[in-house]
Amino acid sequence: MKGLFKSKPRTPADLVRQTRDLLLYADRSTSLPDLRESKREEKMAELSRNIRDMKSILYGNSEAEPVAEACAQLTQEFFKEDTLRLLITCLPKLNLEARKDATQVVANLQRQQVNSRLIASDYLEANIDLMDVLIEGFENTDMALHYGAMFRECIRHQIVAKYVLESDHVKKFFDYIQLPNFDIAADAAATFKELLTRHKSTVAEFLTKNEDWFFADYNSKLLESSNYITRRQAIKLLGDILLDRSNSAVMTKYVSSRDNLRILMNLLRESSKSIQIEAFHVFKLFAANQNKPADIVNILVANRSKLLRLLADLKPDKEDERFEADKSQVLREIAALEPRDLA
Amino acid sequence: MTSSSGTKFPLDAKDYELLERIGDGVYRARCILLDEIVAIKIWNLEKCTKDLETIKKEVHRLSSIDHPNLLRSHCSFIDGTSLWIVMPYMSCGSCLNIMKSVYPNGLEEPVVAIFLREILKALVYLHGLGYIHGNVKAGNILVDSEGTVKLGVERMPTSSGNTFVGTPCWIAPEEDTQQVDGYGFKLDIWSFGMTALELAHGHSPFSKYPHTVAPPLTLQNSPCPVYEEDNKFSKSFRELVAACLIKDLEKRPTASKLLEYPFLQHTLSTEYLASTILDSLYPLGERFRKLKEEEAKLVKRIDGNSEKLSQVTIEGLLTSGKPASPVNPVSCNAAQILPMLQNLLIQNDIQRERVISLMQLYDPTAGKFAVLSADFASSLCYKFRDLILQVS
Repeated sequence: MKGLFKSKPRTPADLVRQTRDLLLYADRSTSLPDLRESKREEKMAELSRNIRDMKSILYGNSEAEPVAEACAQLTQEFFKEDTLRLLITCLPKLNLEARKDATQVVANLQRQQVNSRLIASDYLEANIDLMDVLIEGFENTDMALHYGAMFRECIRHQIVAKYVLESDHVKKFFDYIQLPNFDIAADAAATFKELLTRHKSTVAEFLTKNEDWFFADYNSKLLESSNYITRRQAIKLLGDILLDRSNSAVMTKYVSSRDNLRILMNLLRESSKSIQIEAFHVFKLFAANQNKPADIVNILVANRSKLLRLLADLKPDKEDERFEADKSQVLREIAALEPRDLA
Repeated sequence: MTSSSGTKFPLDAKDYELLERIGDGVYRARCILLDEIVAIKIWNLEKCTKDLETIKKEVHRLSSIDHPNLLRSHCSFIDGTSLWIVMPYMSCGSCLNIMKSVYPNGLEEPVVAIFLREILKALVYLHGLGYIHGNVKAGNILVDSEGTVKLGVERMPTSSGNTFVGTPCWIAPEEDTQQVDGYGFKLDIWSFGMTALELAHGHSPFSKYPHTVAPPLTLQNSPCPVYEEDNKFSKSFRELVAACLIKDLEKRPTASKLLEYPFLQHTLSTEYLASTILDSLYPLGERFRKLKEEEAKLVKRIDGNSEKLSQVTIEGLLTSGKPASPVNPVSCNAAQILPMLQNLLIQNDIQRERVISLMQLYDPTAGKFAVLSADFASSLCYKFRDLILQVS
């Protein structure tokens, strides 16, 4: 039988079909206790090889570059049925190398076009609950990096990112990026950033609808976190979000809040220079706002001398003309402020 | 994160007791909970402000590899502003450390062969995954008391911010000339060949020659830069090295092809390492301290001299170091170079090895460099321009 298969070359579609059968087997095999162990191992090894073969088709190998036609065939067959779901659920049963290969395969498939359509996006739209499965992965140390990487690739599709942002999942990231395991926390932070920066219109819509709870949580859980790396990454990301033109409405509102200003002023006083510098990039928006509310003006005036001194001393390690220009503008703005009566 | 054996290591600095320094930013430590000796790398993230993303990638790579010849991290976590990376403790330290401490003239061929074979196995694995190691050198080859050889894979982003790695003489010429597409892993093969020479000589292959001159030199003199003294090595060794240094990327063999070379065919088991060179080693912490002391003495010796030396601006030295134009040795003497060397040593950790190897050429009684010919002097200028560009 085996000889028969070998005799004619296996097409990419054959490969996917075989892999699917093996995945079905792997999925069932644990519930069939009387299965012979050696048989099971053999099948699992074959599954690992198949996943690696799919990877070679999609990425090429040391001998050959990937072929577009083969990639398209593979992608089409892959998404024709529920292969992705099977692969995701069977992932914990694979060994480390096969898990990594599978993760790379899934990542690549998100970008493959068939007849100039990203069919992965259509598939995920119809199977959006897979995102619920993937996000659970962050809580399992052994699987977090694999599921996390797949998750991040899937939110390349706007429709998927929108789903995640509109679900409760987005709240989970406030905790995931502070997980003690640096590896996993860093991965979660990368995904969080992607969610909040990649699809401009979706992000702007999300922030406008949810700004109250979102920035309250962002401030208290991230910017005021006791964890240095959390604060450092959060302040950087906040700058990226607020400085994005598509979020200008949200930004205007953000810089009108005295609570936000208070937190930013605290960050400016951090002993960590990297945090100070990033905080400056957000703080300057408060100062540059031409319609400052009275209470913001009054806080800035009350702290004027301290702020001027602190900013004068603040310098990035590398010379940065842009930074210096921004700084002198902020210094001028603050120096020229007049106290105002609160309305 | 689990180690390959499945043991969970705690993610809190309180659960570890730092015992002694065994390298720059590396400690021997005890995991109190598991009562296990580990090595911990501590990177101050405030000091390498430039590139958190690169650090994340490195850490990710450290935990996602799984091969007996690669040093995988047990776990990593943040403590204050530092990143702690917990790794298996390799009690004998690096090949570089072993050579510097005990075998300054290099290791014998059977021993070199063992190291090379083990490292190649690691490269075959990495290249299979599509990773380029990017920093193969003796300082990255680690050994434990049983003779287990592991290649360290992290590339610490330096305080100067870029991801520059290693010393240029380990770096293949094509890295300058951008012909790396699709052949990235062949860079590692070049470095592997250089490492072979390093192990056999006891020092880096070009440490007697200026690094920045080395790559073009090897390009011209294809297939391989050979010293007169290299004739003392066996034919099969020279054949292996020459293959690694072939400038044509197509013809330079892959890691798995190299494993089939005659030099690596009758290699002894790693137990041989344990019973020969490793037995005679004194403890790693002590070796590290001793090397540090020697380094400090060197700095001090030069410090004593530098008072008499005239101050020269960096610019002055830079302008005298134009490529291909022979420099007037007077404009580039020891007096000008020493204070700069010293400065570099203080400023920049990653260049330490290079700077020190230069400093060792300094002869304090004569007040000049041992081999300060006009050619050498001019090449020093290159080197400084290179170094300074990296530092600034």
